[in-house]
Amino acid sequence: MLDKLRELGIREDLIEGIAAFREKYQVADIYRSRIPGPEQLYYGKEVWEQAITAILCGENLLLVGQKATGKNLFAENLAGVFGRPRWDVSFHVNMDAASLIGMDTFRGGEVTFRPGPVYAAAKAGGFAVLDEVNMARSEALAVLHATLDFRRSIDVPGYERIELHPATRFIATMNYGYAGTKELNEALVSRFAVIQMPVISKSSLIRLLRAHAPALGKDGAGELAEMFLELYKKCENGEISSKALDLRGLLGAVGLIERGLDIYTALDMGLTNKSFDPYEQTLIRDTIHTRISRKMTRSEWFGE
Amino acid sequence: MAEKELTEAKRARNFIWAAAENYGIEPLFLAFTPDGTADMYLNLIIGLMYKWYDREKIDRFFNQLGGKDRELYEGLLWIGLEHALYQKERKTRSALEDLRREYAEENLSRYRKYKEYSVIEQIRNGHCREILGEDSGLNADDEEVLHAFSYTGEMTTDQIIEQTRQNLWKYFSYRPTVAVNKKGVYFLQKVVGAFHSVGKVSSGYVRAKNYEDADLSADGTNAANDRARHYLLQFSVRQDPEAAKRYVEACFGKSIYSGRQQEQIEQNVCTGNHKNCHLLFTRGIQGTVRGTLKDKKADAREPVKGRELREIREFNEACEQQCEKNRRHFEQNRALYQNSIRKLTERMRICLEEREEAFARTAIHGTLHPSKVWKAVYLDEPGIFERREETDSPGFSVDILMDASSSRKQMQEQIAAQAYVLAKSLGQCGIPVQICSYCSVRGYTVMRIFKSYEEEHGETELFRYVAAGNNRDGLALRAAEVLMERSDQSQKILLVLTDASPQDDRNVGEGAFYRDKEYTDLTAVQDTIREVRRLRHHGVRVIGIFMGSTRAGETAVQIFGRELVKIRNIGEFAEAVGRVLQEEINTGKP
Repeated sequence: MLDKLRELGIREDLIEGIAAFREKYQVADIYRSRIPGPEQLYYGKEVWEQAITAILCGENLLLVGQKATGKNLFAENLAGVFGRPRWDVSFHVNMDAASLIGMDTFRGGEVTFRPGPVYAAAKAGGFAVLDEVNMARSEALAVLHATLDFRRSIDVPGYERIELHPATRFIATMNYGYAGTKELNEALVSRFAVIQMPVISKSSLIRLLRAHAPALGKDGAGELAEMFLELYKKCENGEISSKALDLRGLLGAVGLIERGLDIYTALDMGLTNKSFDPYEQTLIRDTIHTRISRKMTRSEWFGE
Repeated sequence: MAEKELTEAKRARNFIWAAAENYGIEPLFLAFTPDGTADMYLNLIIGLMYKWYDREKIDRFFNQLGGKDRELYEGLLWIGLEHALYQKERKTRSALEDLRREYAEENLSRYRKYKEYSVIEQIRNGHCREILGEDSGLNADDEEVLHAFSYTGEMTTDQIIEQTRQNLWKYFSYRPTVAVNKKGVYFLQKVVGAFHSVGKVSSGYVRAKNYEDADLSADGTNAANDRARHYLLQFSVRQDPEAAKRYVEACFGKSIYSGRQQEQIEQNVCTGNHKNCHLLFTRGIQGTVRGTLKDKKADAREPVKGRELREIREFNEACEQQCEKNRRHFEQNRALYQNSIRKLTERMRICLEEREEAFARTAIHGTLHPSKVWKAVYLDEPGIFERREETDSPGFSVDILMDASSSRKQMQEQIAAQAYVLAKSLGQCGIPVQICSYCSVRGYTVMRIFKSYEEEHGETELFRYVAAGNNRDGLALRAAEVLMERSDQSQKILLVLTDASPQDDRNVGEGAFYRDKEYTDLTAVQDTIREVRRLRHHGVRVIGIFMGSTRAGETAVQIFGRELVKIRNIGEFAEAVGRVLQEEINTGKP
C-alpha cells in the first residue's frame, strides 16, 4: 500500500514515518483479519498528507464533509496504510456509553465485563472509526473525553482503568449537510484534528470510476464525472437534496451498465430514484441528459 | 400562475445555471417548447452563453434591440450565438452533438405542422436543416443572412456584438440604440414588458420574468386598493407614542401584557437598532369587541378622531373580509387541505414513534439485562429483562413565525390555510406549537399570536391572518424569543416564513451619526443576521423557510446560512416545515 501512496506523490518522509510506525507497533495475530485490505484507494494528496502527519503526531482525526466525499473510504484506507486493526462504530441516537466502552454480561455463572469496540481498539492499539459521530447525543459521547485527550485512558466503573495502547487512534466522521444536521459539541470537537474533506475532484472521480470498472473508457468516465459534479453543484445551491448525491449509487450504476443495462435506466436506479420527489427527479434526469446522449450505448463506453 | 409554468421556469433556470456553472445569475431569457416545457438544448445554450461570454455586455446588447422586428433580431443573434457556442463547448461536452441534432429534428417536425412562416422561423428552420447536414432550403437572400450570422467559436464577446451590429445594418438597415434611461429601471421595465410573448413561444427563447414578483401584482383592481390602503396605514405616522399605541391596538387588538410588563419587555428588547421602537403582543381583537367596533369608537378612554378612526374602521372591515376570504378559500379546497393534514400527521407520527424517548423498566420479557442475570440463577427472580416504555413528550417545541407584511398580500388565503394545516397536524402529533405573525406599523412591531403551545383547538384563529405594513425582521425575532420563553420543552425550534427583505419606515435608532439610517437593505439584513445568530447562541434552532425572488434568495442564505429551506410557492409551506421537523426528529436532540 505504501507504493500506492508514492504513486499519489505523497512526501517521502511521511511514507518513511508510516513504515517506522508499522515497524514499531506490531499487530497480534488474532487481529490481523481486522486490518483493511487495499480494495479502493482515496485519491487526494493534500488530505492524505494532512491525515498522515496528524496520526504520526498522535492526534485523533475528525473528517468533516458532505455526502460522497469519501470519508469512510479514507478512514478505512488510513487503518490499512498504518497496518492497524480497525473497529467500526456506527453512531445513532440511542447510542450510550455501554455500547461504546462495553457492558456487563453473564458468563460462566458470574457477571463479567464484555468489552465494547472502543475498549477493544484501545487495548489492541487499533483504529476506531466513529462513523457519523454527530448522530449520537452529546451525553453519550462524554465518556470518550478522557479517552480522546491527553489522558488517553478508559475508566470503566467497577473494573480497572486501562491506558490506551500507544498506536490507538480515533477517526471520527461527520456529515455536514443542510437543515437537519446536528452540530457536535465543542468539548468533543476540541479533542480532534479536523480535516475538511473536499468535494472529490474530477480527475479523482474518473480514477475512482475506472478503478471500479477497469473496462470503462476514459470518455465515458469523464462524462459520468462531469455529470456527478454538476449534481453536486445543484445540491450545494439547494436546488436538489443530497439524496441523489450518491457515489456508491454511481459506482453501482456503472456496474449495471457494464452488465448490459441501458445507461439511463442504470443511472435512474443508481441516482435519480434515490430521491422520491418527482420534481427533484426531473432536475436530476435533466442533468444526466445534458451530459450523456440518449444515443450513447454501453459498447461505446466499454470499448468492445 | 399555474403550478406547471412555475415548475418549468425553475427547471429552465436549472439548465441555465448548470451550464453557466453559476447558480447566482438571473438569466434574461428562458427557453420553452410550444407545449410549455423547458427546452433542454436552448436553455443549455443560454447558460453556455453566460459561461463563455461577458454576461453584462451581452445582456446590455440584447436590451438595445428593439422595434417591431425585435423578435427577428433577437432570433438571429441567438442563431449566431448557438453556432459559436456549439463549437466552443463541443470539445468538452460530448452529448452536445446529439442534443443539437435532436433539437433540429424536433424543431423541423414541429414546423411542418405550423402554417405561418415568419422570416425568423424560416431562417431558423434553414439553420436546423444545416445542422442535420441538409441543404438550408432558403432563398439566396435569406441564406446569405443565415451565413452572415453563423459565428465561430473563436469570436470574442465584442466581436460578436460588433458583427451583429454590422449585419443588422447591412441587411435590415437597423441600428440598435443605446438605452437612454438609467440602467436599472430601464432593464426591469423591459423584462416585464417583454414577457407577454410567452403565449407564442415559437421562437423558443422567451424573456425571463420574475414569477414570484408577478404574483404580487396579479390581482388586478383589488391589488390597487390594497396598495392604497397600505399607503394610508404607512402615511399617518405621528410622533405621539400614546396615539400610535391606541391606533395600533385599535387595528390589531389589545396587548396581552399589562403596561408594566410591556415596559419591561421593551426595555430589554427594544435596544440598539430598535431603540424607540415598540412591540405589541396581541391575540387579536376579541369576539365581542369585534362586533361592536363598527359603530363604536375603538377605545373609550380617549377617543380616536377623524381620519384615524376612518382608517381603523376601514382596516377592521378589510380584516373581516380577509378572514372571510381565508375561510372560503379553505372550504373550497377542503379536500386538498384535509388530505395534507392527514399525510403530514401520519408522517410525523411514524417519525416520532421511531425515536420516542424510551425509559427502561424491569420486565419478565424483553431485552436481557446482563447485570441482573445472576438474580435469575441464584434468586430465581424472573425480572432480569428490560422493556422500554415510550413517553409522550417529543422533547421539543415549535414556533412558527410568519411574515405578515404587505408583500404577502396576494397570498394571504394560502398562508392562512397552510398555517392551519401545520397547526392541526402538529397538534395531532402532540408537538407543542405556537404560531404568530409579525408586521410593523407606525413604529410598532405587532406580534399577532394565533395559537400558543397549550391551546388544543385554536387553529381556526389562523384564518384571521391578515397582511399589512412593513416587516422589521430583527425586532420580530427578538420578540419571538420573548414568546418562546413560555415553552417548557428542552429544545426550541423557530421556523421563520420570510421573503428575506426586511424593511421598516422607522429608522435605526443607534448612534448620533446614524440617526437617519433607514431600516432597509443592508442595515436591515445585517441586523437580521445578527439576531438569527444571537438566537442560535441561546440554543434556539432557527430555520428559515424562504419564498421570494432569486435575488432575495441570496440574502436569505446570508441570513440563515445552511438552515434554510427554499420553497417555490406557498403551497409547499406546510410540506417544507414537515420535512424540516422530520429531519429534526430523526437526528434527535442535541
